[in-house]
Amino acid sequence: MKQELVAMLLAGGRGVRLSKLTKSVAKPAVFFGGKYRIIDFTLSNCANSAIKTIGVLTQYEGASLTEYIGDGQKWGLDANGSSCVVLAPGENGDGCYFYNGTADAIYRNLSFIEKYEPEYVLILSGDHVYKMDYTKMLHFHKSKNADITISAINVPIKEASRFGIINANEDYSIYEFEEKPENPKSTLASMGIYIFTYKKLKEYLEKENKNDRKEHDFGKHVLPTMLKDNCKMFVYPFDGYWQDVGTLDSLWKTNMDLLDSDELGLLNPNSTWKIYTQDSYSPPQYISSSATVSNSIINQGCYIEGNVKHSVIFNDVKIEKNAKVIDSVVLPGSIIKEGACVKKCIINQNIVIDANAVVNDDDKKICLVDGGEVNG
Amino acid sequence: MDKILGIVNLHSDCNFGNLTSKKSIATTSFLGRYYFIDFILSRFTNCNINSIEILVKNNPVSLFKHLSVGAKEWSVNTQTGGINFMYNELESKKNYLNTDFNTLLHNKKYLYNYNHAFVLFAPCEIISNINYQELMESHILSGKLITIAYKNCSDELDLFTGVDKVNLSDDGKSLKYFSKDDSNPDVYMETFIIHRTKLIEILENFDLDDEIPTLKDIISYAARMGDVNVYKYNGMMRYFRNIENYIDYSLQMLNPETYKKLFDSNNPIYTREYNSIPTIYGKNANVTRCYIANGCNINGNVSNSIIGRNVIVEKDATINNSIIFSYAHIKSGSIIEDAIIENSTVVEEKVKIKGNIKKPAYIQS
Repeated sequence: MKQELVAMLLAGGRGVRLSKLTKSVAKPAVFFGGKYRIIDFTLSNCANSAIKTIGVLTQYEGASLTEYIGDGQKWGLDANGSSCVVLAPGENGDGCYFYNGTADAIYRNLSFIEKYEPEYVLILSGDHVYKMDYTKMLHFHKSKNADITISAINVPIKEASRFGIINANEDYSIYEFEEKPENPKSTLASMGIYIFTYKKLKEYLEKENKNDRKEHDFGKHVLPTMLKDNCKMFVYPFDGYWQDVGTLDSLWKTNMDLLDSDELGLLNPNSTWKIYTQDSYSPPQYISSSATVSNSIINQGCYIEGNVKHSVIFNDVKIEKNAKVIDSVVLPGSIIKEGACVKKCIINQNIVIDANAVVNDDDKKICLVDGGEVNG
Repeated sequence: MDKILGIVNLHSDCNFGNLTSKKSIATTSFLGRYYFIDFILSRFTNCNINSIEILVKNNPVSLFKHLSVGAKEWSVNTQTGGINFMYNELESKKNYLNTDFNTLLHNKKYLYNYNHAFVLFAPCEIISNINYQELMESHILSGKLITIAYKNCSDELDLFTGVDKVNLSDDGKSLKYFSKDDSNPDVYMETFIIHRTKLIEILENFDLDDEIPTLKDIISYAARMGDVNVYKYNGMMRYFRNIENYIDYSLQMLNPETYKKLFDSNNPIYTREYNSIPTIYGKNANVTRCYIANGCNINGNVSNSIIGRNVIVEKDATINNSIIFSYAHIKSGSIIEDAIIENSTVVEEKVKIKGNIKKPAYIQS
């Protein structure tokens, strides 16, 4: 069935800087915000933007992601006429293949896109935490009659050298890309979100594929080629909250942001832009007579007998008597035994912290606790 | 494996006063996160009962709304099974005609469509961990027409005055008759199983000129023929019959021992997913001995209470021994004790609401 727009979600990232958190799950499946996984944000944005066709490209630890995504039912993407399909690398007439870069991953799935005869293709990444209405970006793309529109966010000037920076004219047309520039000319950082007019996407992916290099990447190869060819390239400035939670520090910080300011608006119960996720069918949270809980968020299934302060507690966590959890993120199913104390930690899922254990006492940096190992 | 068609029988004389004036017990809030009907539906699916009919008495709207998301939320296989309704719109307003037997009679044709060997009837106001497969085994072994479930409640006899009791035959293996004998500890669990073909036979042979019976009348009749087997259940059971024991039993569930009996990870309780956010506890939150559902924003003092979804408790508000339903907003400085606060009610600043344990205050906006 013909669709005006097809979304392609790049979810193959390994997230090496997240250490043991991505030991057995892909980065998009990493937990965030007491209840969610990172990929829930992008998929919920798609569902809320009324996008009906989504291809999810997996590679690293693809099986866990395939299981989680299923038929897209968690995000309501399973209706008749909708499709949410996991597209993993595999084997075809030319032999076995992996995705060699972001552009290669899309190139190898052009036949999937073609089925829907789309006019536009939205390229997304499953690595970011944000709420965004892609419809507005599509309107912008159409109004500029663009070949490609790149979404960008304003970052503080001192951080701009960590990002891919876009330099644009007053009419938002792009004249230059700078990858992690030492002296940035602008503060518009690429969010890795592109809308292509499909014909141009196909043309440039086929062109890129003729290049004999090991990796084919949008940011490094396709976009610079398009710029050189004077394609109509525009930048779409996004003014919401957006975070790449690619490191332990940023994952911890983004969780703590929820408690302190919630610019993301995740915890606004009146928000009509809901984030959907898997339900754990757990009982309501139980706060016992010995518990103290303040300045924290706690999910269903938790059994709290100890002290929780300024922390994010996922579903089915047990915190026993006299245990203290401070400035920490505790992932699903973990148990903090009696008298234990954790500070400034991310506790991986299904971990047991022994009775009276003290973790990260000097609390100078963020610790990841994973099965008896502590990684700074 | 023999298949059971599970029927949730909502034809009950129990009511929670004001709480159930516009809706049935089935869709009354329980432990903040659930409706009563979630427990019986989860009990069915945890016992591998995948085809479910709901015998509706009246006030069906909230029920339709709750179940409209689809049977898979309660872990029902929607291809081999499903959740459907048996309802008699025409006669639901005529009390004397609105019996479980009559509703079933009007929906008789649906019973033909199943290939299930047995039909099981169970209410939603009794919460237990009964194993329906064991009940079925007992039924098959007995060779009788019907098997009913009961529990011996001799250690808490005073909780069951006025409910139907099971008077057993001398060998203890069959039902002699039902009574309301307050000294009899054998409480009828409003639960029974029958062969589907036998049930259809009874419905087909019913003389429409006769007075409309209840299903219990049919069991009583079979008991006189010595054709009712009994199954004794020994586990946890809570029988919610009125608003007093609704609040009393609900708050008893705050006991950690009861929590463990009720919430066993091998027998999850399913409910409709609302995609609520996790609950936020503010800097001034002071919460002890509570069940709190998701989506709340708690910044006041809450003790010994049950808080539903998306409830706001402002700073310096105090809640004790109470049940607060979803979307209520308790403003700063208010004090709520021994009360039930209805869905979406706003309790204004510095308002004091105080009931007593025997007669909880009920507030609705």
